[in-house]
Formats: sequence, structure tokens, C-alpha cells
Amino acid sequence: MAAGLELSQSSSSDVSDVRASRLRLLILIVTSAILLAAFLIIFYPIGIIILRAIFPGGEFDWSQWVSTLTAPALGVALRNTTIIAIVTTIISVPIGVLFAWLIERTDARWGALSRLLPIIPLLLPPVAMAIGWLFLADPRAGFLARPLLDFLQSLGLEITPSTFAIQSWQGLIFLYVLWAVPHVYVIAAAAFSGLDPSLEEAARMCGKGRFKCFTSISLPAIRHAVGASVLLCMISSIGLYSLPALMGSAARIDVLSVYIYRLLNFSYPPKTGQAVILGLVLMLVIGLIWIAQRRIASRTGHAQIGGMGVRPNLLTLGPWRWPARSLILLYVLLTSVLPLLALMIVAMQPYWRPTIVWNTLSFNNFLEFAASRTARAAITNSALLAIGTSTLVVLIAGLVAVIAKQLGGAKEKALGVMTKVPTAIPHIVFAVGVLVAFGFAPFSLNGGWLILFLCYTAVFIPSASISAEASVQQVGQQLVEASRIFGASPAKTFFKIQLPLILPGLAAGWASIFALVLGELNAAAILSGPRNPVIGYLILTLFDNGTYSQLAAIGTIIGLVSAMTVSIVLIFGKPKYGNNATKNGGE
Amino acid sequence: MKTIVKLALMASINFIVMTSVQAQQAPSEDLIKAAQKEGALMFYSAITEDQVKLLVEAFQRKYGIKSEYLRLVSGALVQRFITENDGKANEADVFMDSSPLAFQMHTNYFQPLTGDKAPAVATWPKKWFVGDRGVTIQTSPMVVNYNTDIVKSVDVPKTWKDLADPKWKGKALFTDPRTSETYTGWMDTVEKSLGPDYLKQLANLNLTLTPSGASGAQMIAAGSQAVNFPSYASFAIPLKDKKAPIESKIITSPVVVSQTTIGVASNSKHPNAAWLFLNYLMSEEGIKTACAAFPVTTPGDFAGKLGCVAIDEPQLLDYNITEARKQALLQLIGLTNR
Repeated sequence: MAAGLELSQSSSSDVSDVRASRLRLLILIVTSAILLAAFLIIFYPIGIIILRAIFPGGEFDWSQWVSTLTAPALGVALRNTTIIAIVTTIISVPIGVLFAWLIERTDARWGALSRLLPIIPLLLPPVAMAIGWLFLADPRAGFLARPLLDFLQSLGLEITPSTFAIQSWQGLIFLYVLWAVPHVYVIAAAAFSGLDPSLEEAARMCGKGRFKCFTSISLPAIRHAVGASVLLCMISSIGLYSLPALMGSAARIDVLSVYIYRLLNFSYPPKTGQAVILGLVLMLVIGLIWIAQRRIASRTGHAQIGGMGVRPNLLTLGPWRWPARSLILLYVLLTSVLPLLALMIVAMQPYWRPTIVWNTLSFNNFLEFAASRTARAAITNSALLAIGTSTLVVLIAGLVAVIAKQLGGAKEKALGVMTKVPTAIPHIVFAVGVLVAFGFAPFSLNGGWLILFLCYTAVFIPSASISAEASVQQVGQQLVEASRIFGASPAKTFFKIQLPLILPGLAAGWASIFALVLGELNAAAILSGPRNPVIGYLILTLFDNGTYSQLAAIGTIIGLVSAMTVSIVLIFGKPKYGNNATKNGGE
Repeated sequence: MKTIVKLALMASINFIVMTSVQAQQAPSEDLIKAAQKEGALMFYSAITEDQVKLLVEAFQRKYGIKSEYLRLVSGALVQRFITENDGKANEADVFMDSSPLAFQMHTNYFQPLTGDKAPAVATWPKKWFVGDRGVTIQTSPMVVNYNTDIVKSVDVPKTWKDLADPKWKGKALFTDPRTSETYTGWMDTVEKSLGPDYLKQLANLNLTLTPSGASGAQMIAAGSQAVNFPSYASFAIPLKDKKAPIESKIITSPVVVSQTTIGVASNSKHPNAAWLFLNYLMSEEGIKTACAAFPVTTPGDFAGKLGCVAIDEPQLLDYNITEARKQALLQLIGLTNR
């Protein structure tokens, strides 16, 4: 009987073993399939682009490299891009990290909604933000700049509109910083929210000042996130197009993104080969920055989410609380409220005019969109594509980051560089690669939504991968090892331990990608059309054949859709322990 | 009495001439039937959305053929058409671009234009054919767009020389010539016609740049600057519709035009519908439809008899400017090495 019982127990444990191993196999297969698919989506189009561009007619063409790299205007564009990328990063990273610390770790925060404040500018596509700022700050027709200029001139100051222009170096850097700060903030805030507070508390108990606590404890603890912000800031500044196209061109400041865009769009035949060569050089530069950032971050060490239960207390700022809050509010006012307000006013005007004539304001521009079947389809398609793309991309980036960390060493580096490759290829070139790769037989996806989905997935993997890597580096091995000791499979460890801990970082990545997909223009130009319209297709049409008021209306719609979706994700993406944060000795 | 008879005679002659032209341009019944059997048309175009829509809808109404269009800016449109054709998956039946270059460089992607299929082709002035694959169907004259609140009617510039007047210093918005082959072609044409000093005079005006004529028109309507050139009247139309203080003036000496060129795709899925549509656009009826709604100029009606904007015979733009020539022109106008 006893033997029979043993037998039955052993057979039941065999069955569960078999089940577990089948499950493990299934998860392994699914994971491999996802990664293989991601690899194909990225490298198949890139391979096609490189072959077509570098080996035109099947032969390597040196002269193309020479003419690309010796073009006189390239040097100027490179110099300007480097200056902008470095200065933007130097200014934006400290501001973004400081805001993240104030809101996540101190009592300067008020309510869950304050976490969303600094990311409001992120919800507008750069083209809408650029136009919003033009409405505010054009020296002759800006809602703010014009009255200010009149006032200063009435005081007898000799100021001309051209000395006051937003279309200048200062203006351009100012706008780059406004645009970059929220990108830094989301990464840093995610890192701060998952940080074990015991060190900060210990430092405060030992009598360290608040600022000292920030610089010597909190900041080094999220070193990976700061490194990731620097990387993201640099890469994004290099790639940003709409701001320099609208403001930089007027100020005669040429940058690399505009230079590449001109090669592709304003030359006939499009100089795709030259654009790809520049993309390859850029890929090398970005790869080197990434490796340097990882080396610095790993050499100096950083805090990780440990195995102990945490219940972070908010640091009291005392008399600094309201100045800190005012600083955040001022930032929000300058970066979000004013440009959004300008955008909304112009969206209600028949056309952009510097004076507000109340009886001409109406919702006509919005009603035109509501009445147009293409516009309605474009908004729905873009919203669905944005949800799908950001979810898939974040999942892939999370998986890759976890696997890369397990592998370590050269393999980790290789995976890291591979996931950054699409950044270096301009979206429009990548879209051509995707069209060639998947648009025609045997796939024949041209004109459908799937081809846009594939393209967006590939081009947005780098951004997701940067925030995912920062979060994964933040999760300590302690918890993973503990999970393994208790017999959990790698998959179970991923879903039960790692995923919940890296969720805030992933949610931040999700949010920014969602907004980026909604406002994407370049891939849309190649892959979208009357049968698969997206918002980018609408914007492109309006940019050329509409009014800024119609553009402002579409910008406002994108802002509203992004704001609703991103708010929900960021509020629910916060880890449970974070919600229990209590103020340390505060009210 | 004599005068009445004379007038009646002239009117009848006109009528006979016009009806005979219309008769010459009429498509064959076989073509119409074959096109209706295909039942669909895809039109790729870089002209304004409103114009494309108007033409496609008018064609659809007349022949009952379901017509769709893809409207993109020139660069993206060409890129897409070429990529689709390279991949042997052409979608376009009729292709229309704001420059003739695609028809010169990719002749194999277009069918030879003959009057056999589209009789209206045979009635078109020969000068405006681009090889035998494309034909300039519209000519968009370059204009200055100006703010009517700032620029008094007596001050409105009429010639390119007027625009180099120092009174426009700090008030002129210049469309970045690096953003389009047509603007580069404009620099080449005015330099040849007015001499290198003309471009130097412009450089002295402290010109503010705008990345496109479209954004330039918005800035002018808002009063950010007084004048924007070189540009096109089409950019000002949506603003004028909203009663913005903006007007366009065709600039002469010389009249510079871009050539909106059209052709039928070699691998068209609906070739009969494509030929029927091309014939419609080139026929008097098609020209009248376009010109009734938009200020269009066309080689089919430079005299303005069909309701189009009349212009003096314009100067043809050179679209094949070498890189060295382009750099030299940019240097003259002060747009290099910033």
C-alpha cells in the first residue's frame, strides 16, 4: 500500500515535472521566436538598404564614400550637431534628474498627478511643439514675444526683432532642452521610484544636508539611469528633425538630421547611398558612446533594488519645499502650459494670427477632422498602432535586456549595440528598406497596417531598449538568485521577480514610444496612404497644403490622446510599494 | 447690323473651332468601355490635396470609375513610386510630379505618350513634352506671397529686381533654395537672366530663411514678415479661404515656372482607366474644371481662354543643376559655410 502510495506520488511528481519542462520548452520557443522575429525585422531591411546603397549595381563604390564625407556642408552640419547634442545633454540631464528626485523622493510632490507634470511636453510630437513655440516666441508675431518686444521698445531700449528671435542658437538650444528634459525625467523617475531608501534615510539621520543627500547618495545610486539619460539625450538630439528644420533653418543653423533629410527628400534622384553612409558612420559613433557609457557606469557601481522589503519615505524639504514646487511649476508653465495654450488658441483660430479675436474662435478645425473619414481612420489607426508597437517593443526590449544581463561580457555588449542600430538609420531610409523587404511578394504587405507596425517596431526598439537596460541594471542579482534557489525557472523568475521590478522603467519607455508613434512622420510618408492612413500622413499633407491652425488642431488631438493613455499607464505602471510611500516626519 | 453679323460670325467660328477641338480630344468608345470594365484608378500626385481631390472626383462623376489618390510631397512621392516599381509592385496608374526629373531618369517606368490612346495628347504643344514619357500639364509660376496689411498695393513687387530693393531689408522671408530642385532652378534662372550681382544684392537684404513655401505663407499671414519668395500661389490659397491678409503676385522678368509633369505608369493595373484619366486632364473640359476652381496656368491655355491664369510664355527651368553650380549659386546668395 505504502509502496503504491510512493509510486503514485512519484508518478504525479513526474507528471508535474514533465508539465514544467514542457512549459519551459514552450516559453523558450516563444522567447526565441520573438527575438528571432525582432532580429529579422531590424536586420533584414537594414541589410537590403546597405546592399543597395553601398553596392550599387553589385559593386563597391569608393567614390560615393569620398563625395559623401568631403561635402563642404557636412562639416558645418556635424559641428553644429555636436554642439547642440552636448550642450542639450549638459543642461537637460541635471534638470531632468533633479525634477525626478524632487517628485519621486521628496515631499515636493503632491499627489500622483504631479508625477505626470514634467512629461507633458513628451505628449506632443516635436513638430507640434516646434510650431507651438513659434506661435509664442516669433519676435514679430508671437503671442508672448511681440508684446514683450513692444514693451521693451517703449522703454527706449534699442532692441530689434532679429536680436530677440527664437530662431537663433539660444532659442534652438532652449527648445532642445525643453524637449529633452522629459525624456531624462521618465528614466530617472523610474529609477528613483524603485530605489531602496535606506541609504538616503541613513544619510539624513547622520545629519547630511538635503542637497548633499541628493548629490552624494541619491544621484550615484541611479548612475545607470543617468548614464542611460545621457545616451538617450545625445542620440535623440542627433536624430531630432522638426525643431531644427523649422527653427534652425530660419536661424541658418544646419544640423545633421536636416542635412540627411535634404539628401533624401530634396535631391533628385534621392541620395539614399550618401544617407546610408552617414547612417553607418553615425551607427559607429552611437555604438562607441553606448560602450563608453556602460563602461563608466559599471566601473563606478550603483545601487540596486535589494532583497529587503522597502517602504520609501519621502524626504522633507522643509523651507525648500515650496521653492522646489515653484520651480517645477515654472518649468511646467514654460514647457507645457504656454505652448499647449498657444496651440489650442491657434487651433481655434481660422489661421495663426498674433492677436486673439474672440468672436472668430471656433471648433471648426476640429469639426473638419471629425467630418473627414480619412482623418478619423488616421487617428484610430495611429492610436491602435501606437498601443501595439509600444507594447511589443517594450516586451522585446525588456526580454533582450534581461537575457543580455544574464549573458554578460561581450555577448551583452553585442546585444546592446544591436538593439541601438536602427537609431542610426534615418526613419525614411529604414522605411524604404521595410517596403522593399516586406512590401512586395512573397509578403506583399504594402498598403496595410502590418507593414507600418513592423517598421515602427524596428525603429523604436532603441528607445525602449535604453530605458529597459537602465531598469534591468537596477534590479539586483540578490532577488534573482533567491528565486533560483527556491527552484523557480528562469521564465518564472522573469515574470514573478524581474518583470514587476522593471515595470516602472518599461512603463516610462512605453509612454514615450506611444507618443513618438502617434507623431511619426517619415515612415508614414513611405508606408502610409489612403488605404492605411495614419496621423503622420495627415500632418505631412497639412504641412504642405493646410494652415498652421489645422496643424495645431491635430497637435492638440495628439496631445489629448497621448495624455489620457500615458497617464493611465504611468499611474498603473508604478510598483505597489511605491504607492505606500510616506513622508518622513512630514505632515 | 454689320457688327452683329460680324460678332455672330466670330462666335460661330469660335464655336466650330472649339467643338472641333473637343471632337479631336474625345476618347474612343472602346477606351471608355475598357476603362469602365477595369472600374478603378490610382492617381499618385504631388499637387495640392484640394486640386487632386477635385480632379479625381470630377473624373469619377463623368465616367463612373472608382478613383483613389495618393498625395504626398514630391520627394516622398517619387521615392515611393520608384521603390514600388523597383520591387515590381507598382500601385500607381497615373503619376504626376512637380518636376520632370522622374520622367527623364526612369523612362522604363512610364509608357510612351501617344495620341492613339489619349487623343488630347496630340493636341498639346510639343515644347512641353519631356522626352516621350511625360508631359508638362501645369506650369506653376513663382510668386511673391505678401501680407496685405503690411505691404501697400503700390509697393507690391512686380519683378525680381523689385524684390532686391533695400526697402525689403529685414522684412523678407526667403524660401531655402536647398529644399527643392525648383528653387535651385530659380536661382539658376534669375542668375542667368539678371546676373550674379542680383543674387549678391539679395544676400545683402539680411533674409530670414523659411524651410518651405508652405510655412513661409503661414508666417506671412501672421505678419511675421512682409514678403516671402520664391513661392507658389497654392500655399496662400487655404489661408485666403480663411480671410487671412495674404496675397500672391506672379513675378515677371523673367516668369519662372515649375513644370508639373504627368505620365502613365508602365505597369499600371488599370491602363485603360489611366489613359482615359490622362485624356480627361489634358482635354479642354479637364482644363476648365481645374482652372475654374484654382488659379492654375497650363501650356494648354497660356492665353487664359479656358479660364486659366494667363501668363507670358514662361522661361523653362533647368532641373539638372550640377552640384558645383549649385554651390556657386548658394555662395552668391550667402547660404554656405554657416
